[in-house]
Amino acid sequence: MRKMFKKLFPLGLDIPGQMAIIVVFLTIAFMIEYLTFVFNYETDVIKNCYKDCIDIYRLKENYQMPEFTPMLRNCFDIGWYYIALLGLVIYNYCYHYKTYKSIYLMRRLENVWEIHRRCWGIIIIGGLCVVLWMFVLWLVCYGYYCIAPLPETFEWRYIT
Amino acid sequence: MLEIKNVSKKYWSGEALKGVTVSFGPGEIVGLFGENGAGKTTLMKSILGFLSYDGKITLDGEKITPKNIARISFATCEHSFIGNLTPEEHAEFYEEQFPKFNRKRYEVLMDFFELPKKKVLRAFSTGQQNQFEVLMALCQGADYILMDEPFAGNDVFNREDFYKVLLGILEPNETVILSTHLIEEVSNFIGRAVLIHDGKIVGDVLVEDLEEKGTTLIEHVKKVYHYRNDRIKRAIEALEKEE
Repeated sequence: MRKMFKKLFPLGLDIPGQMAIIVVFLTIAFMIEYLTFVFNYETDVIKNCYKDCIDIYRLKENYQMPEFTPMLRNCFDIGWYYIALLGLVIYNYCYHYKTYKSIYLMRRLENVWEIHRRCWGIIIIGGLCVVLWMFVLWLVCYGYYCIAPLPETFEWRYIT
Repeated sequence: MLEIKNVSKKYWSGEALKGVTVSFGPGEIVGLFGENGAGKTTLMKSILGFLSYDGKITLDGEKITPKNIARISFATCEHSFIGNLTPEEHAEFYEEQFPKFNRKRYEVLMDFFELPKKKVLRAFSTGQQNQFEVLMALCQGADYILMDEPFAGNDVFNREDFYKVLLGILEPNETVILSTHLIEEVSNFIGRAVLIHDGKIVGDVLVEDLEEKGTTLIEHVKKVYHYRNDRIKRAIEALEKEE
């Protein structure tokens, strides 16, 4: 299994280093998207559940909790992740040209797809990580939606 | 037979190869000589398919494709190995990718050159890296071994050892095409010299023919390149006059 995993990366590449870059990037993205969700949550909750009493919002008597799905707007922009992964693909190709020209070895192989599999493999690994991260993000957001208490009053702030 | 027919290669800066026609048969040890920029490296890279070119290059009548590319190996002064791998990891990769990889020859040459098997190649000295580069080209199991100035950075004893080992280990059907500036050194062990100048083949001679004529290889090369011995004397005289 470990050998198969290694075959998705260029030979000799610092795999832990590259995985660390993915994890750090996803963690930062997770934080940003989680905060985006919290902002959306508060905006929607205030709109639906609170009345504006100048300087303060008060909880309505028969309030209805807004739907969860619209609160996820702007949270799952997967395109950016794949653009970042493409950057790693380019890095993997460049790896064969820097310092030593291992490209001359890779281009002499009978299996012409060997180098491409090793350079593009990060899309598979990174893609799986992104899907996993999205699932964890969704769980955390839904947990927040279910568990977060609604206070009686809410300090006034501008909402769209 | 490796046949190169009317091969030309143009870069933006000019024409690197101009209608080159030459062939190499099994079992030859060929020295490929030429000044810097003559087209030696371009010729080798064209053979390997690294560069596009006009003309025809065939191996036993067939175009060089991934199906038969394993019959040609390449050792270059730019180093085609992976710096973060150890020699042993390279050997494992070669065994996977090249069915005719010669493990026995690899072990023998690694011991002969006293190269550490479990140390990453980027930690090797330049000379050791050159040795390993050539070693892997010899162990790939190829019929045609192209070497592009593989000795840059190696000391004279190292090079002497290498020539002797090379003569000893090569099979009768293995062909070596060696591009180098060290004409006098290699003249004792090559069988044929191909001279390239400004993208064209200007000489193709058997070493034993030169010996029969009583000429050395270096003298023949100087004659072909119209080397003017008096240039240095005239340049020094001109400097002394100015002073």
